[in-house]
Amino acid sequence: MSLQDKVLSSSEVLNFRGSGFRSLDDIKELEGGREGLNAFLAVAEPEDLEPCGQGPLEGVMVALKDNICTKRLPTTCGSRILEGYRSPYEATVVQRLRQAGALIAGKTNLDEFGMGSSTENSAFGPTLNPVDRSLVPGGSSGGSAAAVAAGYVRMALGSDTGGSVRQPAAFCGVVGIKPTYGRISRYGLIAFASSLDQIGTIGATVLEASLLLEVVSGHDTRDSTSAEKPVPRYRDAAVQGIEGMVVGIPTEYFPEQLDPPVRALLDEACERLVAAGAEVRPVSLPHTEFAIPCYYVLATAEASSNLARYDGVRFGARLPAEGLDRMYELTRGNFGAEVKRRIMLGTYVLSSGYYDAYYGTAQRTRASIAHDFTTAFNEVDVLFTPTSPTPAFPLGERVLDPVAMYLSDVFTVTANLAGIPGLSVPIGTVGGLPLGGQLLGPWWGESHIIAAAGALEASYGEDT
Amino acid sequence: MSVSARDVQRIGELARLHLEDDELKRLTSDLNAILRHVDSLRDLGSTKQPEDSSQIGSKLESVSREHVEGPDKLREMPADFAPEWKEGFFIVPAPPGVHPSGDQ
Repeated sequence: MSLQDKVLSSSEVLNFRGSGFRSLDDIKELEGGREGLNAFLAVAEPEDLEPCGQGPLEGVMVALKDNICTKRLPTTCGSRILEGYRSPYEATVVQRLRQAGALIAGKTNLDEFGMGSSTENSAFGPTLNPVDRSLVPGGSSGGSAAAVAAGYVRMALGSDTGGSVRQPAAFCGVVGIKPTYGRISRYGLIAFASSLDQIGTIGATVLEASLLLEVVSGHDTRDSTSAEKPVPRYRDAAVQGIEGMVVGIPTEYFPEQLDPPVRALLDEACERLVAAGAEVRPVSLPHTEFAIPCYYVLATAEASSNLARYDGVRFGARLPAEGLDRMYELTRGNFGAEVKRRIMLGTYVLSSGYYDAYYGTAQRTRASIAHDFTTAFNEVDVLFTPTSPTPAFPLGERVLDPVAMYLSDVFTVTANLAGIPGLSVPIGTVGGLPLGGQLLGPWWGESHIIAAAGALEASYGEDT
Repeated sequence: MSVSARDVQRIGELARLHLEDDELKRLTSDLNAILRHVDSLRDLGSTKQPEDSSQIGSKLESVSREHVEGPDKLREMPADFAPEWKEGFFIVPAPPGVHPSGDQ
């Protein structure tokens, strides 16, 4: 491998860990057997594998979260209301994957419309964590993370509105990247909260997640929020090293309540960053404590608007009823409990008399959170934090306590609110369960966080 | 702030969601728990804040392009992408109470 000149071919990247690839039959057999994880909602048939280009992912199977539109496979968003729905067009990321030579292995399970942190909110049953089947895989991109962690595929796409790529990557022991808002076209990504949604990549290694990011990034005339910025060779950033990099440790992300074994792993990761040539220093992001309430006001407000389109007329399911209004209400009764909860909250915070108290305040808070990052990145190149306060939790533990579930996202939502890139990389295990460390970078600073993650991954690799 | 079951019923009507009695009860409890947490935003109080979210990511740029006239794909393409298409019209499900023959 040509690591010396820091320029990697895609085949070198894909064979970096020397792992083989599974066929569609392998995936079907694994998912259909007793050990199935319910990671896939649909596995492609051989005839679904359209002719592809000769790019950097030639012949590589990639799984897609089932909120990314495909023409050949159904797109359900994990919802009864879209059961069996087939999109008349496909997402830009799907076209880019095909041009790069990738094969679409299938569509992965998710919390309904991306709303959840455990993949238990799917209408088609929960996905199990391949590390321990009694635990959640995280969410909402739990199917994609589980599929990569189980070795069904080496790469998958997810979407990240408040941590939905990074948290399941952490829970399953794989790498997840949420890039800067605008880095990847959202054309064909079914909307949850449009100012926060961003497609992200999941890979078995930093190199694989970075190569996938490189392939799907870039401007798209069909998404006016995608940026006209050149796409760097992210795969090279993964091996460029971090000599002289300044890493900030935000004190607000290391509260006293963190379990000692979790804190010990984070401290060890900091030491490894220093050993790799970085300088580590404390910083402050003072508005962090307001991030979760701010996020849940803004995300639900946007969701209540985006999901108004599911009325039984234009998409998916329709329940028979006397009169149009009754038909709307009964059809929308097909939403699951968490989606209804968020639509209700979003409708409330936007309603007359409460709009400024909630939505207006949350918008101002969002600006304060972004300002915190601007200030921090004047001093440091990247930030290092836990991805989640805990490793994966048991199935069913938080499903009846929405606030406890929302707090799973406490360290990830800030990146979405500010629009900055974030990445989760495995930093060891607690009680046998993977823990993720999160790297946050300045706007368009994907290469920095990939470099830091690559250095950490290499450091742990040297120990094994 | 808190909400009553009646408030939740009204929100459900605004959101066009049919709620069963047990859902109404559970949602009232859940929304009050969430609102208690969300109310911490008020603790920001008089701390100086930027005016609005327009300052988010000062390095993000608005994206716009020059207007370029191009062919109108809809003039030729609907039959290719419409799930059902007949004699120049999209075929859609009839609204409730309207029969396909046109009888009410």
